[in-house]
Parts: sequence; C-alpha cells; structure tokens
Amino acid sequence: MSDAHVRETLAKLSSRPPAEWVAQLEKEFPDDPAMRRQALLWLHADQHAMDDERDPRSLGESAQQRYELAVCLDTGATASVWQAFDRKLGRNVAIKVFHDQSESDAIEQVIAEAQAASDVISEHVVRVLDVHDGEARPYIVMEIVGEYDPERGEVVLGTAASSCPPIDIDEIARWVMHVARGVHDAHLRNVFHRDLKPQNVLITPITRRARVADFGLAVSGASEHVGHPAMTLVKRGPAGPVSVRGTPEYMAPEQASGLPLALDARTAGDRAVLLAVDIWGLGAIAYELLAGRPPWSATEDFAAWEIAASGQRPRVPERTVKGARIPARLRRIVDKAMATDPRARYASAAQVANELQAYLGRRPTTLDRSRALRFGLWCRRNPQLALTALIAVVLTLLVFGTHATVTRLRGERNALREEVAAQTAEQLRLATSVQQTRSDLGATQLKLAAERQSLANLERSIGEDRRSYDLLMAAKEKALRDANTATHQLLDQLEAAKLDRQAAEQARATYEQLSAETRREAERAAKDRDHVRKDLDTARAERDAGVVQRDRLTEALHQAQEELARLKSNLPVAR
Amino acid sequence: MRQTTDLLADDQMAAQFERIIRRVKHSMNYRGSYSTRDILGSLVARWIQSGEWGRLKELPPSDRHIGESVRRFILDRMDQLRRRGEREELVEHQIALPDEATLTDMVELAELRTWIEARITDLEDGTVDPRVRIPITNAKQIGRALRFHVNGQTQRRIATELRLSLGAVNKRILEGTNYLVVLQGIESGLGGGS
Repeated sequence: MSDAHVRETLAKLSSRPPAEWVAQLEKEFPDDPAMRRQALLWLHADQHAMDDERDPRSLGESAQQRYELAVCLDTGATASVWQAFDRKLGRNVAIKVFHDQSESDAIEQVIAEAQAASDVISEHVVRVLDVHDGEARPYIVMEIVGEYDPERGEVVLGTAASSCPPIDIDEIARWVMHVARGVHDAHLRNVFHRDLKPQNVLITPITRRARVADFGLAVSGASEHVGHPAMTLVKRGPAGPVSVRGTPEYMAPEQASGLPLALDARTAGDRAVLLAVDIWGLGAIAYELLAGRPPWSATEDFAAWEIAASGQRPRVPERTVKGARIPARLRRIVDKAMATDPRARYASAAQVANELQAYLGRRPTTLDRSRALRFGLWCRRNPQLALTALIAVVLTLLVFGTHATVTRLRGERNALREEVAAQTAEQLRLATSVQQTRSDLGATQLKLAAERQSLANLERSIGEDRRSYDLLMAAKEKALRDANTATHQLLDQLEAAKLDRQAAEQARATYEQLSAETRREAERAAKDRDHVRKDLDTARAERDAGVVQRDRLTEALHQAQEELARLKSNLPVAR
Repeated sequence: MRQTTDLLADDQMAAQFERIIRRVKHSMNYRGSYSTRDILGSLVARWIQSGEWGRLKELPPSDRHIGESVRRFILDRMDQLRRRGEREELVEHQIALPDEATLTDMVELAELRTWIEARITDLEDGTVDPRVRIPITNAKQIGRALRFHVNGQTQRRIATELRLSLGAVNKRILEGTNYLVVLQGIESGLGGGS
C-alpha cells in the first residue's frame, strides 16, 4: 500500500463518525492488523485534538447562541484565544478557551482569574466581560485588544510585549509605566497579579500602549490558594507552610522560596507580601525588555526557580542586546524594583509608575540625588529657560570679568612701572660696578704678564733640571744594571757553590757509608780470619793427629809386613 | 457472540488509546505559569536524570521509597543553592510531598517527557521510527514545530519563527503529536508489528 493511499484513507475516515472507523479500516487494510491499530490510534488522536482545541461547537450550545467564533488568534499549551462576535451586545470580543476541562484545578483557576480581572477597572488592564465554567470546556470572554488602522481599513489586534520589538528604550519605560498604572489600579481593588511577565502584557498596535492581561495566578480579597499544592515547603519558624506558584523565569526570590498557602489581600501583612511580588514583576518585565532575557534562566544543573530561590540578584546590564546604552537612571529604577529584600523595593506600583514618568519627563526620580544630575535634567526639561539663564549668566560673567580684567591690568601696569624704576637703578649700580671691574681687570692683566714671565723662567730652569736629572738617572740606571749583572753573577756563583757543597756533602755521605761498610767488611774479615785460624789450628791438630795415626798405622803396617814376612817364611814348611 | 467480544475489545482498546493520548499530550504541555505540581514535576525529572531512579528500579516496588529519595534529593539541591546565595532566611527547609502513588505517576510522566523530547530530537534530525506505518510529511519541520511547542511558544510565534502560516503550524503540531501517540502506542504494545 502506498503512503498516498494511507493518507487518503485517514483523511476520509476522519470526517466519518468514530463508530465506523473499525469497520472501514477492516475493509481498507484487511490483512494488516498492525496498520489498522496504528491508523485507529492516529484517528483517535486526531479526534482528541479536534475536540480539545479547534471545534467551536465544543464550547456548548448556549455559548454558540451568544458568541460567533471567527478566527483563532493564537493557541498555547493551556488555552486558545479566539476572536468572536457577541451577538447579544453587538461587539467583538476575545474568548480564551481552556483545553483541558477535566482538571477541577483548571476550572477553579479560570473562575478565580475571571473574578480577579473583572474586579479591576483600568485603562491599562484587559477587562474580563464574562466567564463560563458549566457545560463543556471553561472559557473567559474578554474585551479585545485591538485598534482600527485607517491605513489598512480594519481593526488590528494587539500583540504580547514579548513579541513586539520596542522602538527605543523610552518606549520600554513607557510600557512598564502603563503596566505599573494597571497593576496599581488592581492593587486598589485588592487584586494582586503574581505572574507579571512580558507575555502577559499586550501592546496596542497603533497607540502602542501596554495593558495587563492574564490574572490566572491573581490573589483577590480573601481568596485562598486555588487548588491543592502538590508540594509544600515548610519552613521552621513562624512562617508556616508555603507553596510555590508563578513563572520561574520571572519569580521574585521570596515567591520562588514559597508564599504562604492562604493569603488574605485585605490584611496589611499579606498585602505587603503580594505587593512586593508584583513590584518585582514590574522590574522583571523591564529587565527582559531591556536585557533581552528573563531575570532567571535554567542552567544545566538547576531549574530557573531554584536559582530564583537561592537569593542571587540579577543586575540590569549596561547595554541592550542591540548594543544601545541603558541609562543609569533607568537601571537604578529597575534595580530598586528588583531588590532581593522586598522591603527595599518601591512601596507601591504607583511609585514605580511615577518614577518612570519622571524618567520619561526628564525630571529627577527619588533615586537621582546628585545635584549636577538634577540640574542637567532641569536644563533638558526647560531648554529655553536654561538658555536664557545661561546667556544672562554669561553676560554677567562677561561684565564682571571685563571689570575684573581692567582692574587687574591697571594693577599690573603700576607694578610694571615700579619694576622699571627699580631696574633702572639697578642698571646704574651695575654700570659703576662694571667700571670698577674693568680697572681691576687691567691691574690683574699686568700682574698676570709678570707671572707669565716668571713662569717661563721657571719652566726653563725646570727644563735644565730635568735634563740633569735625566743624565743622572741614566747613569744611575747603568750602575743599577751593572750592579744587577754583578749580583746575578754572584748569585750564579753562589748557586754553583751550593751545588758543589751539596756534591761534597753527598760525597762525604758516600764516603761515610763506604767507610762504614769497609769497617763492617773488615770486622767480618777479622771474624772470618779468626774462624780460618781456628779451622787451621783444628786442621793442624787433625794433621798432627793424622801424623800420629799415620805413624801408628805405619808401625802397624810394618808389624803387619813383618808378620806377613814371617808368615811367608813359615809357609814352605807347612806345604 | 464474537461480534460482542470484538466490540468489548474495541472499547478497551479505545480506553487505552484515550489514556495514551492524554498522557502524551499532558507531557507535551508547557505550563508557563508553574504551580507546585509543575515545579515538583521538574524536580522529579532532574531526580531521574541523577540516576537515582535507575538504581531504585532495580529494587522491588515495596523497597523503593521514592518519596524519601526525592525529598532528600530536593533538600540536597536547596542546600547547594542556599550556600551559593545570600539569603539568610532560606534555612532548614522541610518538604511535604504527595504519596508514593502520585509520585510514581509523576515519575512516569517525567520519563514520558524525556522520551518525547528524545523523539522530537530524532524528528529534527529527519529520523522517523520505521515501526510507525502512518506516513508523515517533512519530519524536520514537524520536529522544529514540536520543539517550539513543548518549549511553550504559541502557534503564532512558531509561525513567525518557521515562516509558515498559522494553519500550517497547527497542522505540523497535530501531525507530530499523532506520530508521538502512535509511537507511544507501539512502545506500550499496541499497534506494533508489521
């Protein structure tokens, strides 16, 4: 099946009664149950949207009889705003139709909003004309914010300040002043808005005046908190339970940290709390229109209302997003309106309006305390008078100045004359002094010539002395050189003598060493000789003993030989 | 007899459809002026982002004690902010929260809101979930219109931003919402498969 076929089928079925959808889808997609379920879900969602937002019939029969819905001006998350014609009164109106009729909180909120806004009569507040909360969905009928444009020949509708670029900074101040007037009118009726922001301010298209709308969070009279808060913050101490309501990006610090659950706008204490919140709201509107961003913005880590509750303070920048310089006077007003401490803010919305009116009228505000600034503002406010005064002052200054100058010049002239006389006397004194100095100079010059001659003679004498001195010095140097030479020779001889003595000492040492060795050798030789002598004596004794032995042996031999001879002689007898 | 059963099934399905449509649309709503419920909802969303819910989901429902965990989380954040700020009187907050069932519902809505924002990002990138069989035109433009819508811009403002007619913006938002409803139906087990 093609995409075109699916779209065509859905378009065809959406105009058919829901009871027929299932059967028709069975026919169109017989073998595709998943497709049938998706298409059915799509058709239900389509139908739901039609019921919720677009079908004027859903307002109910009585509403249809009275109001003819013409054009849907805008649609937001919670409501749509329609341009309609009131048949009964024969006029155009705006109808705010809330999407979700199922929540009782929403209906209570619609009633509370209508009651709060309808009680306020102000040219700066969008008037609520009617409210319906019974059949079908709740809606509020309001006067339409629009103006006839002669060039276009039709009524042109207003737009929210958040979507309407201001012409200049003064226009922003003018819008906030209008809003402050409207808010003050509401306060006079004990109605406190609590949700002031540029989105809730409508700007008329031709006259460009600002009007406050959307009193959805307003507190009026003794009304209690609408609905039941899902989360309650309980502070220790006398404050009691509090709840947080409002638009986080524009919340006053005390609003973000919680306002009491039940507030009675008629009691002084609660009035002060609510009033301070609205004063902050006026500052927040001015802040966003000037800075191009709301006072608080969510970060990656924290939600906008958490930052608002932390007690930090947004400062109005020195320049707008387009680079225009924001006057310090205006910044001071906004800063005071957005003071962290509610007691430091303006005491009423009328004060804010008056301050802005003063700012726009070039008159000093209560915060402009500098005299120079006040005078500058007076001049800007009364340029002709300021110019006349300036001329008068200049002329006066001129007359007084001229007189003073003449007097001063006369005084200077007299002083100059006196000075000239004094200088003439001084000149005479100097001339005399110069003459004296000249004669002194002549005498000095003569003395100087004599001194020069004397000096020349002295120089000649010094020259001769110098030559003699030079000769003397030459002879002295020669003698010194000779003496040096002789000294060197003597030193050489002395050195040679030293060497000789060293050699002699060495020879004597050698000699003594040799003598000692010779003595030791002689002693050893004497000992050896004694030994030899002893050995010789021993040898002699041995020799003598040997001789005796030899003699004995010789005698024995002789005896043996005799024996032998005797024996031999006896031998033949024996054989 | 079979026809009666089918009708009953259709009624049940319609009820389920209604529930899905309401929850998706509720999660897409931007409430410019917050109530405590919205503020608590935003805190619950941040609590989920912190990973604490992911941890608690691992536990049996009776042991989760969502309220206590959310309460501690809120107290911790307020303490952090108080240290940054200058206000002396912002001390010792105590918080009374709704019951576990309401908190569980808020957690589901916050998860659904996260899911919706992720799907809108997909559409802005031109990515359409292939399981959705209903064709949509110009996914990127639908994604951008939905992004402005969930951020609280009115249709007139969206028309100016996207340079479209008011009717075209209305149509894109309607088509985008229906796409998200169908996709959520598929995620819930309705309308899936091929």
